Amino acid sequence: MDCRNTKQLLHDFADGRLAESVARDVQRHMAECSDCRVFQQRDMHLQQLLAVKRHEMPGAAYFDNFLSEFHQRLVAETAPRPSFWQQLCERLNIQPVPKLRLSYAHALGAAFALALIWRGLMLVESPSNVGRQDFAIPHSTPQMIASELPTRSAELKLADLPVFPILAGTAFGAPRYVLDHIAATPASYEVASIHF
Amino acid sequence: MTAFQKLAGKLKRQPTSLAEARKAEHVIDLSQANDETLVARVQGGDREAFDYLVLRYKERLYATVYHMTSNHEDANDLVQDAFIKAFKKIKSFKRESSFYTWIYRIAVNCTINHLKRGRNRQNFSLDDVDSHIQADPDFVELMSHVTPRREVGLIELQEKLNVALQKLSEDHRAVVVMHDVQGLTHADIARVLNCSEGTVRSRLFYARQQLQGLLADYL
Repeated sequence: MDCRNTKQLLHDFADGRLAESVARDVQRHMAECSDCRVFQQRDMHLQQLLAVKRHEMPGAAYFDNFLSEFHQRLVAETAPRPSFWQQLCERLNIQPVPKLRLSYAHALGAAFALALIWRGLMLVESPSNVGRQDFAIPHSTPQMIASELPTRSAELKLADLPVFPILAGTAFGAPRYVLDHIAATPASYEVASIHF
Repeated sequence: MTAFQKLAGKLKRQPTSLAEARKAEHVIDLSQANDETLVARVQGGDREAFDYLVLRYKERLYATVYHMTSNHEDANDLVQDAFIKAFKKIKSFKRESSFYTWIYRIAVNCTINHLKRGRNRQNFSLDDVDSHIQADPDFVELMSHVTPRREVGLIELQEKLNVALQKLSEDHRAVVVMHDVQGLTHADIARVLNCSEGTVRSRLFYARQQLQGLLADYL
């Protein structure tokens, strides 16, 4: 058995908690090793020195208020926390409305509703929306445009009708495509060689 | 007497007997009740029962926390923290260990966390050494040795000891305090710290080795 193992087992050896064979080994090592004997003696003195700690005691009246202090802290720690509105009222020095118990969720809801109203107002009053209505007509379907035309179709002249590109291909026949040039030479995909 | 009158009389007596039963139940001396009973009552909503647990263990917990912090204001705050934490979590206490082991674990963990966060008061605030120390055989034996400690006063010795203890790591200090000062067994310490007995022995060995170096002049 080496010194390190012996030192670790010294307390159990002193308390008689080691197996017989292990205790015999420790005893044999202690008889041979002066270092371990010194260590054991110093350890014993350390135990005696620690006795001082055992006798450090607070005064007799130290715990008199312990229970009441504990109750105060318990009440403080388990009391419900003030809501967002209460904190805000406290910060702004306002008397909170006692019957209205507004929580943080209520505040969020109110803020969201206000935001919706504000957004709605902005959409109604925005000048860009007015312009958008003007441009809505050209994108309307032919049926919508036809409904806005005068009912007496017989009296209508072609010149009175507005010319829309969308109607050009549908109401007045299929579009015609004219080839104005046909390449005589076939297309080549070969890369032209460059000579320097 | 009609049947109705009998019934009325019975109904009239019933609440009285219930009230008496409740009163009798309440009169049970809780200071004599064991921990399991008190814990069961607290878990059932009886806050008063917890007071008896506080009264029962406050001094023992205080001693452990005080030896770990070397400051009695910190110790007082931490013990109260431990009790508050225990009260809040008592419903989750499954009685797998004793209440004492459980509250002890809470207090030691609170203290270790507090020390690791460095929120402890840096100055010592030591309790007085009681007069019984003069009759302690360990102390008598200590003072009989021929070493420089004969010349040092008790207060100086106490301060040197506390300085040395504060130089240990929190885990090592906890083990030394529980074993060498409080007298807990390795198994109990292992249960409190939720580690193996081997770890406790190892920590104790290294802590003592360090203390021997720090207090070499007094050994």
